[in-house]
Amino acid sequence: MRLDIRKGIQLLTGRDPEAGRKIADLDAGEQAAPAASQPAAPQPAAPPAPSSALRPAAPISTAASQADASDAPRPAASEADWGELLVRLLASAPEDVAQKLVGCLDREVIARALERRNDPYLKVALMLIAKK
Amino acid sequence: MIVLVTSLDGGVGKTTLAAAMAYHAAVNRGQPALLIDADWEKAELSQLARAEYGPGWLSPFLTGEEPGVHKIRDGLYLVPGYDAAEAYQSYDFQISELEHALEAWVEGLPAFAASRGLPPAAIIDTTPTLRLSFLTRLKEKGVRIVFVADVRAVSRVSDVKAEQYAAYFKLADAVVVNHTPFFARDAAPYTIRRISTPKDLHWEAVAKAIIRNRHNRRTVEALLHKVFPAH
Repeated sequence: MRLDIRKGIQLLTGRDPEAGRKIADLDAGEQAAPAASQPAAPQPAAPPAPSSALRPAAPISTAASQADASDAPRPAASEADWGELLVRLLASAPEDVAQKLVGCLDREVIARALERRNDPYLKVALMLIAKK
Repeated sequence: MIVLVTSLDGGVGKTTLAAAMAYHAAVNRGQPALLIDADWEKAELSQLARAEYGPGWLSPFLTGEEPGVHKIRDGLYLVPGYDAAEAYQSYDFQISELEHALEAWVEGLPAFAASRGLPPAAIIDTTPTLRLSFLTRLKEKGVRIVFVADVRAVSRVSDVKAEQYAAYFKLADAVVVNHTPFFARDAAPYTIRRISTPKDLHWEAVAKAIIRNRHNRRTVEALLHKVFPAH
């Protein structure tokens, strides 16, 4: 059994309108306040999560993966993968060290690291690299 | 603002202290708080608060489900830990996975709380003997660590134990010695005196019983002032 940290953090940080409704329900139980007064996000409601949670074979909810990827162009720090770490290392190293490291690395590896970020400027830079 | 309550030994009163801090913050100081029951061994806080059984803090990572939020009272909410306790018993997790999940909570909490209308300030109850490397990472993320101990912390069982305590003390923002007898009430900056067990083992009754003692009330007040200040 493995935990899916990436999916979990997407769910925690994503704007899930269903979640807002749940908190509204908690309050409505005591104050009979309308759910609309709660800070629910304006998107259409996601399908409600099943109430029974803890079966290991249960399929992972797709609610988080349905989130618009353009809302989160950068991965969170905890999701930093090898590509992110490599780019950060090269960017923060002294220039001569960075040059040496880049010289040692396969060009394809660097290109793959850069491809992990969905950024138009990077895409153009990659095109230039490929052209050379 | 996130406070994590932890310890080296079990049974030192982490959960009751977390409950008392949250109660005093929300009820007596008007400072809303979100409790997270990250004691994956027992989930005792969820039981004390009579939270409904269901998805808790681990579910986003375990099954992809939205974590349940239990409203304890106005300004005080709890994310239960039943799912983590059950998973801990049932599956072969690596501790690092649970640590990463809790770390993700620390990072995701501001967005989680904001999007769900919950208090942004949280108190996390944990399991004993969290790894020092993990606590160090949390500290680097701005988490304030309250380390709870009892007389074992000063009884010097062995040199190894003394060294272990010293390492945790060094990391902690505040060290609370719990269950102190009356004569030792000033043995540490923050001490909680032993109280008689309330008949009703309910979250609020336990928290009230601790706070009712004048010395304990002062301790909790000072502790909140240090690690959970009102803005």
